[in-house]
Amino acid sequence: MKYCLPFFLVLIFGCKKNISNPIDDRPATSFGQVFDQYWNKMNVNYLYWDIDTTNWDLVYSRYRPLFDKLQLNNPADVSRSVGYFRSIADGLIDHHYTISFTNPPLKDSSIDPSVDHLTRISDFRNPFSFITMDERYLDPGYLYGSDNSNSASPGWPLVTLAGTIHSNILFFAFNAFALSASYSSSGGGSVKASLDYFFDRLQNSTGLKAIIIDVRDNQGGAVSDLNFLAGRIINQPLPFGYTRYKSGNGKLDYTPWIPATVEPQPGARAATAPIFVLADRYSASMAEILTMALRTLPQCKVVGETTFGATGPLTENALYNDGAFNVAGLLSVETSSTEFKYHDGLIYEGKGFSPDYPVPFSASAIATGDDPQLDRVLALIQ
Amino acid sequence: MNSRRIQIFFFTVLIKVSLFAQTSVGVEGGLSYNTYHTNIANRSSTELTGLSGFNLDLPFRYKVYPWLYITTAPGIVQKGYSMDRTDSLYGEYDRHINTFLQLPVGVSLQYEWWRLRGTLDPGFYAGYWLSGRVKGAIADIFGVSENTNSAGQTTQQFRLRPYDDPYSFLSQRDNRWQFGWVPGLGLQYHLTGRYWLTASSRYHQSITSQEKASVSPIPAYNHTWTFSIGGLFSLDKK
Repeated sequence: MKYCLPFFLVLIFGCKKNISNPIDDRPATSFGQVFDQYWNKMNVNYLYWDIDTTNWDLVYSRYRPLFDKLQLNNPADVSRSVGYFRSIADGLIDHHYTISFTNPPLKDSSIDPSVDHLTRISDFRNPFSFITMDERYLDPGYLYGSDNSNSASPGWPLVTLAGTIHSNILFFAFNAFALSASYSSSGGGSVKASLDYFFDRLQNSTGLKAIIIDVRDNQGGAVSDLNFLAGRIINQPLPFGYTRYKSGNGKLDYTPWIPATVEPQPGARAATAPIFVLADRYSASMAEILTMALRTLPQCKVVGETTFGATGPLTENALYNDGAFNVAGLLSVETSSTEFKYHDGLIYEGKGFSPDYPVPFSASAIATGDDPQLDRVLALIQ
Repeated sequence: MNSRRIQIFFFTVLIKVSLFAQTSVGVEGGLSYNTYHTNIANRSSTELTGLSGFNLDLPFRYKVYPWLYITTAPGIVQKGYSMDRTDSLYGEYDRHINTFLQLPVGVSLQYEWWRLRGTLDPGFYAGYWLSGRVKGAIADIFGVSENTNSAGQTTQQFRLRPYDDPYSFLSQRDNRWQFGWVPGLGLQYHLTGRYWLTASSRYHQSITSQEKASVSPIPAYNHTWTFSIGGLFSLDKK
């Protein structure tokens, strides 16, 4: 008996397992290590393992031997690895997913599976900016805003257009979600003026027959713009779906679904006029979120094309310990930080949000100065 | 035929009398304290903390020798943990409170002094994950506001969203069964006749991960201390 107690204490406090963590941030010394880091970080950080049909274990068994054959110091092998990564990422449903290479021979090259998919569909077309075309529809006195210092990406200025059509249809178009930053910055004068015009007409909406918000060719940007813009159209919180995040290192570790709401801006008045959102296949990310949020209002309809299908907002990995990550010395991956479920219970990631009134893009109509999608909205209003 | 039935009847009665003569049953309850053993080194500004809960069990002791008992104590025990964010993310947390039905089986080595008995109780246990609740608070991605300071730096401030939901079991992810070993120490005080007061402490160390390896390559094990007091009733009439 007297020997049992020490034996037990040794058992209790001595038998603790050391649990290893496969996530490694050290620069890889072989392509096998590169692949392991990438594969393991995808396990932990990728958000859509609940609905993505990619067999990730099969990816490991198929590609690990291929990467093992590559040499990090061989430029031909480095290029070959891009092909492997492109093939691996091709089936992922996250439409925010991109791989950018940081290794010098590959610098500035990237993989964008959702754009690759878009280019393969039969009626592929390039993005088209409708803003200059829409100017023709507006009454004189419309406000065009432009801000080079606040844009969604370098060299791509934020552009806004606010005005009326037939004097009683309020119109607002913008090409990126950088509105609130531009509004409060010194360089955003013309953007601020166009936004003030739009907000003032929302506040003094007497005689307004309809409101048109154009997010075609708008590839998203700052999440804070959702409340900044849509919060001017409502006077009480607008629930429009749910979000969830990774809560642990397991592929299927998630927080519960959290209600997603648009919060009204102080003093905002609820819009009562019909709202039409113009969206197209290049309306992505926050442009889709705004479209879906407004569509929950009973007087809102969507006209145009099915959106891009990148509905999970992005932020830094540190906030939720999920989403974007790097493989040291070779590549960085951009991927959603948040899984979004619309209020109808469906997840539109990888699919896009369908319009109530589908109107295809028409290059021939555009060539004659006509915008069939906007024409359809005006016909619906009349 | 009748004679055989009578023999079986008497044999059964003898076994029961013998069993009762060497058996104690009781009830114990108290606190549990669980820690979740995994590796979260990759998760920034995050720490794992243990959680306390309760446990309740029905001890059953069968005497083999005066110094050796076979024991079991079916019961329920709470095993919780919390993953808390630190630094600038302080206030975000994800707390899991899980309730297990547990069946330990082991032996008890005992030593008596006057009215006191000290016991060493090694054994193994099987646990069945009955239910779970997950409570926490997280930054709402859509509840963000941006502030620009005088130096032109933009900072983001997120509204915290609380949640408090039942845990949704997922057969792809969750191991409902848990197995492990359980050493323990106990103290029993002979009150009077067939009644004993008990106090015990056990350490349940799971050797199976709470999540399936196919979706959670980093395993996670529950280690649970229980501290109980209760009573034992000896079925022996002596």
